[in-house]
Amino acid sequence: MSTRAQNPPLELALGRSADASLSRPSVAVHAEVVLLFDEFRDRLFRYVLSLGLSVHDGEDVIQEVFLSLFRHLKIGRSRENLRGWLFQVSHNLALKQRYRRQKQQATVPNEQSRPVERIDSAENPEEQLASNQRQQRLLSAIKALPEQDRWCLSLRAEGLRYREIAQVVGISLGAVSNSLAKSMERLMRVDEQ
Amino acid sequence: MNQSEQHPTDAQLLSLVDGELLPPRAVEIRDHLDACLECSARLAQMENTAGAFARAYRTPSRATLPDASISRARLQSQMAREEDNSSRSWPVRLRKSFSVPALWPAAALVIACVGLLVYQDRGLVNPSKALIDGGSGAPLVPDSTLTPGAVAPVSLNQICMDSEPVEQKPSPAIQRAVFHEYRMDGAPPQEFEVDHLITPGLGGTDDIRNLWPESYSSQWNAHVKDELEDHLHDLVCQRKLDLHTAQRDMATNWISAYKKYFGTDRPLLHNSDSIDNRKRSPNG
Repeated sequence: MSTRAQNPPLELALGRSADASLSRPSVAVHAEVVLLFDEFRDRLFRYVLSLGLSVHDGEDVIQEVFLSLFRHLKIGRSRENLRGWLFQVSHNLALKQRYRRQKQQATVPNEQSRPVERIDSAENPEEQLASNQRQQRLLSAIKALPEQDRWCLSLRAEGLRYREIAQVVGISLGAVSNSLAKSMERLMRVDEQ
Repeated sequence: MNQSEQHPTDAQLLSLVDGELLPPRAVEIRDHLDACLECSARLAQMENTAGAFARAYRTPSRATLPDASISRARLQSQMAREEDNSSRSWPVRLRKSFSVPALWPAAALVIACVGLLVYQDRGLVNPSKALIDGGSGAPLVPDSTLTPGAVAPVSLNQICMDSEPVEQKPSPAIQRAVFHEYRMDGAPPQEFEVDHLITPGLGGTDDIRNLWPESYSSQWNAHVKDELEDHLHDLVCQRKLDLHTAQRDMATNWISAYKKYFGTDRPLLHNSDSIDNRKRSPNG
C-alpha cells in the first residue's frame, strides 16, 4: 500500500506530454473536492436556501463555494474542520448574493418564499396533514425570529457543533447557546398550540 | 433538596441534548433529570420539537434541489478549466530547467531511478483527471496517483491462447485496501467492482496500482469497460492493434479509449444500465 505514496513522476520517464496531465496534488484535490461536494452539497444548498436565496442563486453560490474549496486546498491551506469552513463560506457568499439580488430586484419575491409541497410517504393522509400543519406552524414561527437566531437554528439542524455555528455566524459560543435556547423556547410554545 | 433552585435552564437542557456540555456538568444535569419529572418532561418536549423542526427544515429541499449530478459535472468542468489554465505554463518551465547543463546530472539520476521503478512491472501512467461518478461518488476513471496501471511482460501467444484468461477477484483485504485508498471505506461493495485498470487479458497485473473501485451503476460502468477490454483483446489478437498501445490507451483514460475504438460518444445502449446485478463477465 505504501508504495503508492512514493510513486515517482512516471510521466517524465515515459516522455508523456506534461500538459496532458494534472499535477498529482491537483488530481488528489480534484477528487477530494468532489467527494466533499457529494457529502455536503445538499446540506449547504438547503442552508443557503434558508437564507432566502432562490434555487438558481443557490446553485451558483454552491458552485462558487466548492470552487473556492478547490483553490483553498490546491494552495495547501488548512484542512482543519472543512465542514465549518464550507458552511462559513456558503453563509458569506449567500448573504453577498442575497444583498446583490435585493439591490437588483427589490420587488421580486424569491423562490424560497413559495410554499413547497411536503411529502412523507411513511404517514397516512391524516397524519400527513397533521404533520404538515405542525411543520408549517414551526416554520412560520422561525420566520418571526431575528435573522441571526434563524441562522443558528438552521445550522444546528444541519448538525453543526456550537463552535462551528459560532464561527459561521461570527458570535461567541455563549451567544450561540442562548440564541438556540431562546428560539427553541419559542418553537416549543408554538408547538404546544 | 430544593430542586427548583437547581433546575437547569433551557440553554443547559439543549446543550445536553446537543452533547455540548462538559461531562461533569452533563452528569449533574442527568442526575437532576432522574429526580425531577418537570425537567424530564421539559427535555422530552424540547427533543420532540427540535426533531419536528429539523424535519420541517430538511423537507423542502428534497423537492426543490436541482439534480446533483448536473451540478457536480459543472463543478468538475470548472475545476478542470482552472487547472488547465494554471498548468499550461509549467511544461515551458520544465523545458527551461532542462536547458541548464548544470541540472543534467540530477535529471539523469531522477530518470534512472524512475526507469528502475518502471521496469519493475512497467507501471503505466494514467494522466486522466479523476472524474467522479455522480450517484456513487466512485471515480469514473481512476486517480492516477493511486492507480497508474501495471502490467507484466507477456507475449501475444500468452494472451491470445485458446481460452481467455479468467480474471481473479482481488482478495477481500486488497479490496478493502483499495476502497480505503479511494476514501470509500463505507461504500457498499456490491455496487462496485474492484477492477483492473489494465485487464489481465491485456497483460495487466494484480498489483494494487492496477486496481480501483469501479461503479456498476454509473453510465460509464464496469460492464461498459468489460466491453472495451474484450474489444481491445480481439484487436490485439487479430494483430490490428499493438499490445502496448492497447495497454497505454486503457491506462490513460479508458472512457476516451472506448469512444475512440467504438466511435461513439456514449456507451453502447445495452451496457449503460444502472445497477442491474448482472454477473460480471469472466475477463473483467
